[in-house]
Amino acid sequence: MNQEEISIIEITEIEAKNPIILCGLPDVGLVGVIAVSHIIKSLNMKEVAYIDSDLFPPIMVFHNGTPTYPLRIYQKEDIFAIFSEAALSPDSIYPLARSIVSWAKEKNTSLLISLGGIGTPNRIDIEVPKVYSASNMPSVKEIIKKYEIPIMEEGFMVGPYALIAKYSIQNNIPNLLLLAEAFPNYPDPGAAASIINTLNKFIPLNIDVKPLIEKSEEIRLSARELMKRTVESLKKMGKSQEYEVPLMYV
Amino acid sequence: MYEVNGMEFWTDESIWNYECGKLEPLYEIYESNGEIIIRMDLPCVQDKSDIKVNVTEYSVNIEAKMGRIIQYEKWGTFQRSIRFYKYSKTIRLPVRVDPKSAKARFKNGILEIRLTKKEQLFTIPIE
Repeated sequence: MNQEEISIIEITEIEAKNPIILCGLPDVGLVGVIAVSHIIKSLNMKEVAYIDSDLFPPIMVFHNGTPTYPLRIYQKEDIFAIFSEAALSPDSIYPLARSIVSWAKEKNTSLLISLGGIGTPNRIDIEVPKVYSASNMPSVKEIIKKYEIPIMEEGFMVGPYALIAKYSIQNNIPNLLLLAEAFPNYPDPGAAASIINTLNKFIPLNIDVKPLIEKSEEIRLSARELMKRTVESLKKMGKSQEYEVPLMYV
Repeated sequence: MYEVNGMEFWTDESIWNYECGKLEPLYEIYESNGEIIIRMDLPCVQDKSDIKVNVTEYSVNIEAKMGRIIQYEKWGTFQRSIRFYKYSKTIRLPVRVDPKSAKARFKNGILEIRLTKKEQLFTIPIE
């Protein structure tokens, strides 16, 4: 499938009925990337597609001696997981978000979930990060209400998930944002564990976060470079605007 | 160093010094209410007794020993066995500080240092 400069290449025949799509793109605290990576491993999901573009950095990742695309899509039954091992350049996120939403529409997704973080200045004093939610669809808001997930009432969002939310509105795709309190500039496996625990409430994933917590220090070490490049990229996207207050209703 | 779509793809400031087994920690620095606040991510450092912080009016130096040696059998594209055992970083401060005012705490692998700015304050009359 081609959408402008982005290609989503399916490497196997994909069959799924109204799938749930989990999105783990590099953002605050790498929360989505860490959470989705743990979900992929825990569910033993299979790689079914990759995403390519000339707008992406000239990077390939080697795993077990095989060159691999940094942006990949995994599947297990009716659950897909989109995951990136490389930072996203500001110019690439517009066509990338459009392509993800368009692909989700093509697959008749029942829910496109963006997993991310909210930079929290006092994160050092928070033992279990809270997860906030937002959605464009009343039916998804019912899920939020039923499982008592706090709602992100007011604020700005900047970056790839903001665009996925925007294009989901335009394409009438049900999009749910789950955002955990997180360290803005450090990889945050604790925040990723909170996100997974929230997902476990309303999707029968039954993912154990204990191994994620136990490997927390190794993850924080290994994710340092990706975190550093992601912070540089988010600055260029104007991420600091998330700390501003919207004018309406003031 | 070169750029693609506004992103830099080679940095001279590597955060891994594999020859010395030393890591440069991820850190953030900002100003708030007359203070300079530095926060630093130090995974694998077990105890505050493993961290040494030296402060001058213009800089902060941190040396921190990891609780265990971190070994990568096939490090990056070098494919060499590499070991890391400590963090080291000197940060040049944006303003002068009072070193005697420095306070530090270490919680869940994060080091936080607070320094009072050493600035002279003049209140001017409004004409």
